[in-house]
Amino acid sequence: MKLLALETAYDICGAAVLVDGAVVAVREERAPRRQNELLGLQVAAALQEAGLDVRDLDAVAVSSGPGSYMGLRIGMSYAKGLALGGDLAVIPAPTLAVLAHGQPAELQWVAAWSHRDLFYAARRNAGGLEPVQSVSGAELDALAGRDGLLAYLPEDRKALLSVPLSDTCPSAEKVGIFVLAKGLAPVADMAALVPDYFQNFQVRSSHHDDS
Amino acid sequence: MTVLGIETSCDDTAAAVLVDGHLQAHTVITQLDHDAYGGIVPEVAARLHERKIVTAVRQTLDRAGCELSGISALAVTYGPGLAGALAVGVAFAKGLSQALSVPLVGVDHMEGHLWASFLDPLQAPFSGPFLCLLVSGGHTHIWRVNAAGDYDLLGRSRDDAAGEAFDKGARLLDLGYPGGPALQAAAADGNDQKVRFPRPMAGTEHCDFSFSGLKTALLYYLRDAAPDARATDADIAASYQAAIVDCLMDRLQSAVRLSGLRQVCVAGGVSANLLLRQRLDSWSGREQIPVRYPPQEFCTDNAAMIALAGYHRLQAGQSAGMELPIVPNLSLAGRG
Ligand SMILES: Nc1ncnc2c1ncn2[C@@H]1O[C@H](COP(=O)(O)OP(=O)(O)OP(=O)(O)O)[C@@H](O)[C@H]1O
Repeated sequence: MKLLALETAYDICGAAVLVDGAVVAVREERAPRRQNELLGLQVAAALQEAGLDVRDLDAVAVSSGPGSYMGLRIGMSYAKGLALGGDLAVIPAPTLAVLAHGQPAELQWVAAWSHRDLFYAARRNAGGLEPVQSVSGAELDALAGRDGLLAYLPEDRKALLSVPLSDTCPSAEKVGIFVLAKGLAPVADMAALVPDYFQNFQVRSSHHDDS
Repeated sequence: MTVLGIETSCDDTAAAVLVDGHLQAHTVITQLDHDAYGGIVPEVAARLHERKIVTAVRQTLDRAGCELSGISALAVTYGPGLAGALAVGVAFAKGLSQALSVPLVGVDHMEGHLWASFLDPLQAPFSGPFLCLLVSGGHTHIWRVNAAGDYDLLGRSRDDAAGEAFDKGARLLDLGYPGGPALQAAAADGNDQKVRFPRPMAGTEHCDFSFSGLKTALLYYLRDAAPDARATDADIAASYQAAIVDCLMDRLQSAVRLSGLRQVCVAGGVSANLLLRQRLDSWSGREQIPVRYPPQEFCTDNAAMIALAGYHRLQAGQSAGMELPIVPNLSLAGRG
């Protein structure tokens, strides 16, 4: 099984190639708001290092959110184009589940910073993750309590939380490893696939007024 | 050369296939969901493009009888437009071009309009530089088209766009939206001599436009005309439409004089206007200046024009790499 894995949900942008379960090439960097310019180059470089062509791949796995709207949109749309042209299966990988994969079970909550004082958070259980919610730092402190929290957030946002933090970080490699470990299935029709923005987009009332 | 064009800059998800510059098939999936909000909501637009892009491309290839493996290049709109909407098309096109190992070329949305007239298979292409009057809901421009990717802006509206003048006029007359077609229909039986509206900028030795005074004149007329002296709505609409079209013709003639170019095309939503087309045709016959306009369906947003502009760029040896940016405020002016 030859798999390309993509991560663009937060500020880490990367591509990893996995062949028969082993990571054979990775291109990745912290690149806030540069996913569009970087991702294609990273994929080309990783494939070249792996000695593979897009059409040698079986599937593309993509970090499917929640996360930055723009980042998710770029990763998912790129994956669909690649899959259409290369006749590849598309496997969405829920971003918070990837972040939690292989981490100590005592850490029952996983979260990633969204914007302002808001976080995407989920509770881990035996089956995976309970439905994700968007919560403030204070709410997340109350939820995670003394158990501690598995979190991905920038240094300058750590003051938003007082619960003990255990760092985790998104990566394309983890997306690939997670998908293989869980044996996630490709979607039946990738045309209908969209990122998990987690929230329905709410149109503020001002939009109704200015007609 | 078979070019697949992709356009997602605003609220239409569109794809087209061109073979050697000739249109084979195209699809426009228009987002109707915005109507409920009274305007286009950028995040909603982006999410709808995500749901439709693969369908638009598959449908277009089917209709064109073209296999993916038959595509030799991709052209995609990279601006101007809504960032999230553009991102869907650009990222998708990058993935597809990489998988197919074919070149990718970025096209400016407005540049697409400049070439739209040449989608008509019955119209011979121009050779050498030409003028393009680009009149849409958001733009009123006169361009000098030197070659693919090489454009000079000769004039633009200093206030409202021509399409806006139609839309605002139609709103004042309660004719509904979009205003252009509604106003044109209302004017059909009207006498355009009944109300004398101004022709802003007419006769000036530059190529700029202005429409806000015209709109204000209509507002004042409707407010101040004595009920018994007031013209019928059809006469008012006809007079107002004639004033807009007079302005467009006057500025275009000024551009012909100043540039010395004697081939003209027209593009954008307002180029669908029948009075404008009549006036252009008779002017063209009188002055021996060939004029082209797009088939009606290519006056508004579509991917066929993007594929065609991309085709000309590719012919000129241009293409973009995987670094192709998304540029919401992209402007053709000041380049090349
Ligand atoms: N028959 C017509 N006569 C006059 N105006 C028309 C006609 N048909 C459409 N229009 C006008 O064309 C405009 C829409 O054109 P188009 O879709 O090209 O522009 P847009 O997408 O609103 O703006 P832009 O492309 O500049 O951002 C509207 O203002 C509409 O009223």
